[in-house]
Amino acid sequence: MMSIERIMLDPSRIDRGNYTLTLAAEALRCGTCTDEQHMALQNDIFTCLAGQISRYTGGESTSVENRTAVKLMGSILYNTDLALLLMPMTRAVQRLFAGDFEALHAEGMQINRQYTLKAHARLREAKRGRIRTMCVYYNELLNKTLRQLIHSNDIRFDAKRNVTWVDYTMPTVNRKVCGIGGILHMLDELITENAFVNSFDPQELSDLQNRFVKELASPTGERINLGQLCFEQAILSMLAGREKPGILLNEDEVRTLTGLGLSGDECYYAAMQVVHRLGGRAPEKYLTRLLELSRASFAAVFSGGEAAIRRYAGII
Amino acid sequence: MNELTLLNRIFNLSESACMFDAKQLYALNDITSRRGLTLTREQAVEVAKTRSQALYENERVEIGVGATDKIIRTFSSSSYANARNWAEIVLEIVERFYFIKSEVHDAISDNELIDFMYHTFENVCGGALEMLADETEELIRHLNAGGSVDIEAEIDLSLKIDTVFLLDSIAAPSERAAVYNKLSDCYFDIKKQIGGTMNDYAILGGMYQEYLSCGGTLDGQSAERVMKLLKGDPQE
Repeated sequence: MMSIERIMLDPSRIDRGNYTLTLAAEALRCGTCTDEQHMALQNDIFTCLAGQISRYTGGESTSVENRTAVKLMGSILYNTDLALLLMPMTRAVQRLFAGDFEALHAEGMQINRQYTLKAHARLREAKRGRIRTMCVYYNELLNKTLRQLIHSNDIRFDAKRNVTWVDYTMPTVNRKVCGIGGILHMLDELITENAFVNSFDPQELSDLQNRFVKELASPTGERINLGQLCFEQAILSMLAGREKPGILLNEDEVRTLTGLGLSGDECYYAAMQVVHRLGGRAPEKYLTRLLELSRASFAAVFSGGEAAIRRYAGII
Repeated sequence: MNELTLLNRIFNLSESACMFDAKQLYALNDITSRRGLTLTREQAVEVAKTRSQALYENERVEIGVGATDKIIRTFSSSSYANARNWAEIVLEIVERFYFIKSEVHDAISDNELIDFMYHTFENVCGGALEMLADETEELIRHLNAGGSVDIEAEIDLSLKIDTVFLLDSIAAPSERAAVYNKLSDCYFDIKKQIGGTMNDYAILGGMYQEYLSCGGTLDGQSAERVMKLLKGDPQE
């Protein structure tokens, strides 16, 4: 195997969602490992799978149905991904071809176990700082769905939960969850959103939700993200002239916004100038993501004139 | 590459994979040769290919030749296996094994299934592979209907029936399975009515008397008559 200094991997060819196999493929491509080493790694993975099959069947069968084998293999690779992702890439390559794949898998399961405990702690934190809302999807996510997802994370046999969908739309994760990493990501974003939304005046928040009660309280209503809603209302309030951002636009502010005569893109660029005033309520990365997602909404609203702005603010 | 592409290496019926498996199966001759049963290299390759094909057709994955190894070791004890038919027996059993495992969705363990197939082949079917197919179809239906199989009890009963009736002496090989099934059905009819109060040999002894008095057969009323005999009721 090449020395560390000579390992020249192309990170763009490596998929963090499929780290073990793409890292191995890239190592083979750039000559970091030989064909024999690559084949030996695959054989180690199959040996690990054979052990998992035996454990899964309680020693009662040496064969399983195809879909079970795919699930077990996915779980093995998800756990080794977790272990390898914590190392620098060059170290990860060395470790992958060191011939101790079982030990790497065991490390990955240990990390998975730690992440699961962390997820439980994050869920408790999210519940403590929850938004008081009638949003059906948000409440279901916090009261039921997340707990089920964490409990269903089988560290050994089903660590990679392929594309589980939740009903509450969120800016970065959208609605997709994959594995314990995906669950942690979702929880982190939920905690950030809770802090952001709860940083506004509670009365304004309550009144804003009353304006959108039909959408929030109905399971068949539009899927609204509370953080996105508050962000857009806050941006518009600042564009309308408020020094301190608020989330409940009034009639005068609607008329002011109409009078600005901004196009969607102009509104977006104007928002970029004021978004920093929301700093302190949420991390910059989160606010940047909300700003990107609001571009389409602003374009739709400002192309529709006063009536569209009025509807957007929830003032019928 | 993802896990599916990696698993395709196993799904693939590659020549090199089969040759490796064939080598492991050929090595089992060290054990089976004590009973005069050996596979030639070509036969070992054929068994390996049949195994791969059976796994592929039944959508299963197996790393190594674990189940086939157990099948060869178990069936090498069969009194119906000889040097001429050994390869044929192994091929048929291997193919049937993976078929059953998939059909019943792993409702039975490897060891239980191999024991069942061995017991049925040896004690019920008298070494007839064609009859084994019918008996295993019955097993599939039974398991898919939610039933379970107590292999040890099955083996125990078959040995007792054979001890009392000497099946080889009362039935031709082609009729053995049918005669055995008739006797065991009659036994279970009586057992259901009489409960656990009577020893198995006492029941089978009563059945044998009835069998003799009916001129070497049992009919629909035989169970009733045996029950009366066992309870001490005077025969009509």
